[in-house]
Amino acid sequence: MQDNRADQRFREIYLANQRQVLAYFLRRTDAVSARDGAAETFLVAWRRIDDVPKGDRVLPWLYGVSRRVLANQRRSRDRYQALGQKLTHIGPAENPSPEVVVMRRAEDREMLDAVALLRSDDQEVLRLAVWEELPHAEIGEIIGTSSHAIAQRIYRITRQLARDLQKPTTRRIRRAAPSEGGGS
Amino acid sequence: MASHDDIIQRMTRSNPLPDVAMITDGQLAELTLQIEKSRCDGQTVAQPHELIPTRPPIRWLRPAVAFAAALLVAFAVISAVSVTTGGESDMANQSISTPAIVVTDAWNPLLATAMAGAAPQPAACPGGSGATTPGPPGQMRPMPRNDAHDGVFDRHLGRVVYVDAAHQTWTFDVCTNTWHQMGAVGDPLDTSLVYDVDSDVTIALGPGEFSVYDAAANAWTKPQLEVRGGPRPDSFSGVTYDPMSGLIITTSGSRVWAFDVDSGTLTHIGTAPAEFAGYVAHLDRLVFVGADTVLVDPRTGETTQTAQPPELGPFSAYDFFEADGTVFASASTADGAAPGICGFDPATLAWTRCFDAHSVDLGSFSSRVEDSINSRVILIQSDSLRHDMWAFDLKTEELTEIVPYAPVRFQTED
Repeated sequence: MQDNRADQRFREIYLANQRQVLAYFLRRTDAVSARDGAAETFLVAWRRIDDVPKGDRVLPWLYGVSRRVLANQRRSRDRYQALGQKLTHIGPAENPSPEVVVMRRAEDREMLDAVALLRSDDQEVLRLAVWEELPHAEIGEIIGTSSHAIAQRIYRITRQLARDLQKPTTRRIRRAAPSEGGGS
Repeated sequence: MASHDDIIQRMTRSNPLPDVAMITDGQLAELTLQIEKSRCDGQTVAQPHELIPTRPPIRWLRPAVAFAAALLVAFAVISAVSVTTGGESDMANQSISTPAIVVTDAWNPLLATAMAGAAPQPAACPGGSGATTPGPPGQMRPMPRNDAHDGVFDRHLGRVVYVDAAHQTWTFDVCTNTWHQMGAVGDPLDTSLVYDVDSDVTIALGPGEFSVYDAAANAWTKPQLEVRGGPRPDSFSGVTYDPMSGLIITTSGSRVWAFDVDSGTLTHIGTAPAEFAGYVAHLDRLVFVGADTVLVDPRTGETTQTAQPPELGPFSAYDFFEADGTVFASASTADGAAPGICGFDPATLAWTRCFDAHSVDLGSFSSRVEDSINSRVILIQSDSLRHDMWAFDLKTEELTEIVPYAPVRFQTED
């Protein structure tokens, strides 16, 4: 009986959120990885069904899981590539990601390049706010801060992006002049 | 300069999937099929406990949270130490719970009877070399691994020893801020590293892995282990050098082990009360973190238990750094986030402030390795897309970039 209720709840969660969760991954990685990531996220929900919050908090909770799944995927991919290729650079995934496709448009390319230089948490905050259109309170729940702090942070991020888009190489504090020469 | 709204609009336009309705029924069917198949197979594709957001990750860098967390930790540590030492601190009376002391009968006294040998002379930067001058921006650099103990400081060699994601051994010269790919023999796989000071070797522990790196020979060797007090462990969690005994302390499951690299002996010491997080030299206590924070006297096994503020967990490792009597600490969480670097006052045993580096996300550096030659902490980036390195000066508390940012590209010698 208990299992049936849990199963029913999982199905409700899945049907209500499948597009949003799959879209989350499709916006950040290639199609195959997106499907794997979304599946993994829902399997976590299934196994931990008692921990999934109720009501409006389900989707932010799923995004929180997705965020960690994506980080694991990227670590695994990095290691796999490092092992398999004795890499000379981090190559793209076999299937071009949606981001790569979009980057063919020069206007977006510049923007995505600038976003990629932000702190990883800032990138995520911005994407959740603009791409997922999450309210600040829900982003705060995922990131672990208040709605007000998220609003301030987004404002700070956009100012940083505006500066970076003017001078893409402007970064860092207290950078001293590098020494001459190459590596060992 | 573009306005806030302009940036938001540009970001909106760059959305690769502006509408979830663009997802096809076929894509959803494939997803459903994959999930159902995994459910039917009972397949575990992830470790749910590692992925589930049981609580929002803490961000110590925000001053208010940092302050509250520091107070709670201070109370917890003070209460624990006060009881351990018999002290009567007023602050201890404000502790959030009454610590309990347990002496474990089965604790092996090896860590009390063994004595560390003389440490080799530490290296020194040659005259005129400036450790704060950034290394060459185009230098080769390792592939970050994103593990807490993927680098250690060999103070005799004067270099950080680092095993990267490609399982290649690198060293980082702290005088020239330059990486060197060592081409060592027998590079270990995914391991935690620890520098054995008095034996002057780096030890790598990992699943099925137990290797020793001799920098002079530039070779990793797998010692013949003599295991005492239990079956040979096949994996390890947490590792530290004990400056008193000169032995390496690690855990495997619920067992605490001590490793003597000179004799190749791995000895079962006792039972771990929780997950091993590190060693605090000022307290001479091993720190275990679970539902509670547990301090264990490595000499006697005496256990001091104190409630852990839930906001602080779970940390997978602690690092402590010291310069001129000032102690700093950092921690790594299980999900890779970290609070950065915080002050720790040995006089009051209280955490003080955490350093907010503004434009540098200290939490994104998985490896924080103390460079005792230059009194600084080397921060090695964990994000493979932003490979740069910084140093936190323990005396001036300033951050300096020591290896400039490199774009998404890692060179090899091939």
